[in-house]
Amino acid sequence: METDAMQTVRHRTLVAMVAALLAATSLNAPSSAQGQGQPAPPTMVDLAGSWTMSNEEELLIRVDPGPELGNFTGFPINAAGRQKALSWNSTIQAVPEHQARPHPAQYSMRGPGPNFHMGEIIDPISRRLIGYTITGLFENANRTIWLDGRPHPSEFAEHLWNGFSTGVWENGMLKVTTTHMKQAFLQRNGIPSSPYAVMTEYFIRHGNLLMMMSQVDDPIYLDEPMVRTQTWRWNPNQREQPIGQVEIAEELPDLKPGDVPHYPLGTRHPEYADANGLPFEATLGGKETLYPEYIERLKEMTRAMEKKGSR
Amino acid sequence: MLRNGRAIGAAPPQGGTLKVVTTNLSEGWLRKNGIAYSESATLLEYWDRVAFPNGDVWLIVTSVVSDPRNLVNDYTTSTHFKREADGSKWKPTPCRL
Repeated sequence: METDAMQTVRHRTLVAMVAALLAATSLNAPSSAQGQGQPAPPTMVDLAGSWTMSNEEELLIRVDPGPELGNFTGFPINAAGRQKALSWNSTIQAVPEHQARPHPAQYSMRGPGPNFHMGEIIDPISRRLIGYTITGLFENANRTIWLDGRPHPSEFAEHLWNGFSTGVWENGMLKVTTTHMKQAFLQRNGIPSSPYAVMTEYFIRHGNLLMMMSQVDDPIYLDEPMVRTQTWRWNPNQREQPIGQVEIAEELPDLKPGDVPHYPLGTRHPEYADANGLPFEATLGGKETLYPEYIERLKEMTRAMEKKGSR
Repeated sequence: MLRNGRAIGAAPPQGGTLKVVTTNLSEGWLRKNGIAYSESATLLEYWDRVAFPNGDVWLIVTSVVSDPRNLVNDYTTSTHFKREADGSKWKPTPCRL
């Protein structure tokens, strides 16, 4: 015969089972908004964590010694971009105003590193993920990627080393749009980037690999967008290095006030072409040099060089 | 798990990624200056497609070569291909020796 105590236990067990069933149903069921034809929430992927660069294929370009003077191969620069790149003189990096200059957003994910940490910004009330931070970038030009739908600032707003970035999820990929970047460079041999450039990046995670494809669209210095890919490995043991304290030193005692190190207009830098037996023209970049059709042109120029005995 | 035993992170491939694992490779070169991989190598690839605001569509192949005989760590590269408007430029020709 069932006692009162047994009945109470059975009743409580039944209530608990019903409550658990209701909770599970409410978690799995679409929300009322989704039920009214709203789109399903985007697939998000956890990008938070520490990431170590993986640059096996481009080591000599991305770390020291870096790209050669006059090596503009692979860049769709226009005539203005080429002129600015040819006049760039590495001594500019020794002037006091440039010695502690951060890397700009259009280059910082591509420089000698970076080994970075991607952190989450959680809204304290809604507990929603509203942004990512990318820290560990050169000279603290750390980035914030806003995911909460906020607009980009006015075109008259200040331009910063890290620009202004917003992100949306597309099929499990984080698509980031960055505006308001400073006048800077795409590669550290003078290939320029204007403040009118807009950068689009896709962050795609594959297990412990992070691949990012970036496209810089610059109406001033490029004929078509510049596209690059880079990869990182997940590294939970990585700890960020302290911010590099740069002591500004007098490195150019003969520099007069107002002098800006540069090469005069019309300067050629044939050393890279000569060292590699390449036609000089082919090292100057340009959109036509990016595509397979250029191989025929390259062969023609190479034959002409051989005829002249300059190869 | 990858062959080196490192744990894979939280996210599985998403969004239409094609993951390809290739084994039983003949030995060959990772670079044409002689850096070799062995028959024990495994090639792991992720194929992704993205579309940029200007309408360009790109295919990105992220590849990871693991080779317990010739490599200390995985060798990772990423290569991107721009989608052509049509197949008019596709004119394969026989190899010439």
